[in-house]
Amino acid sequence: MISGVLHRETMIKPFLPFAAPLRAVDHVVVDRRDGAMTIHASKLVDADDPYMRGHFPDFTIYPGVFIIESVRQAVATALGPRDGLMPDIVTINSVRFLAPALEGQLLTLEAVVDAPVADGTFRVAAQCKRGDGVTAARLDLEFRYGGPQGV
Amino acid sequence: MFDHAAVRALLPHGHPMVLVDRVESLDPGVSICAIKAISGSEPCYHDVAPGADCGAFAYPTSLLVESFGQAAALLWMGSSNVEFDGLDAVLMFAAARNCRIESRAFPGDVLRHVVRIDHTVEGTAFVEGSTSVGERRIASFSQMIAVARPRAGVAVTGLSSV
Repeated sequence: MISGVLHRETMIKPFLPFAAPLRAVDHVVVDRRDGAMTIHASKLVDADDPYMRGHFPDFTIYPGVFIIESVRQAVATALGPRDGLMPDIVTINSVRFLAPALEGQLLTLEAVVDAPVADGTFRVAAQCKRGDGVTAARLDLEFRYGGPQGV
Repeated sequence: MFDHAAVRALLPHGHPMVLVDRVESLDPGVSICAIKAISGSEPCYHDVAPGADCGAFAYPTSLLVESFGQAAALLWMGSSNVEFDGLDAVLMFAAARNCRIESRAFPGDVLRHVVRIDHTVEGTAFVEGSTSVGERRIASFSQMIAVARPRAGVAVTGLSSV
């Protein structure tokens, strides 16, 4: 049972609560069932997005780091702030970029969010697929509200 | 050691995705020290909400990692045992492991990346290193892997898994 569609209100706002290279998610859906949370998000690769004309000047590839950014924004959109602090990345356990994401491709992200451990960090395991079904990336990240050092 | 014009000439990236300002030192095949100044006028700060507090201006981790990766690319490209002439290669960020983001960087800070080549294997470079602002360590990268792919092949076949 999908518990809620949240994104439009956040994503179409003119401003964000944090610095970001671009809007790295277009659509976010949160699926909570049996105590687990899975975030589904999508992003259409757009050569007109900020930074993209530099990556690269004569052909467009969605940077691998922007897939990391997509996971970050999906998590931030899904969870929102706690005590005024947004969740952010503290550790990259592993990231693997398996296939390039090109102009016009629709990327879909599926991120499983684990419960926090004692120090408040929580693991997010994500997979990013292209519209043709090819897996573009696998990511294993850790987040904490407020990011590194809580600030 | 080499200035921003040289950085721009060497990297395939274009503005505003050139995230290294200057190379301070380069030991070919071994290590590089490269810097990037963070400015509040960068595109990543465009949409920060008016009245946002200081924390909202933390430099995005995604761009920090990209900046470090570009320093690694410059090390690899500046090392004499790797031929890039005529290859028309695209350097791709293939993988990373055990990278810790330890602190934040803000407008006015200068990121200083130190990258070391662990080893290279035919078109693939394994590097490690760290990023600091002054004495404060911002991030440590236990392993980052970059691959060189002929540009023509990228759009058609993509990367092989690493």
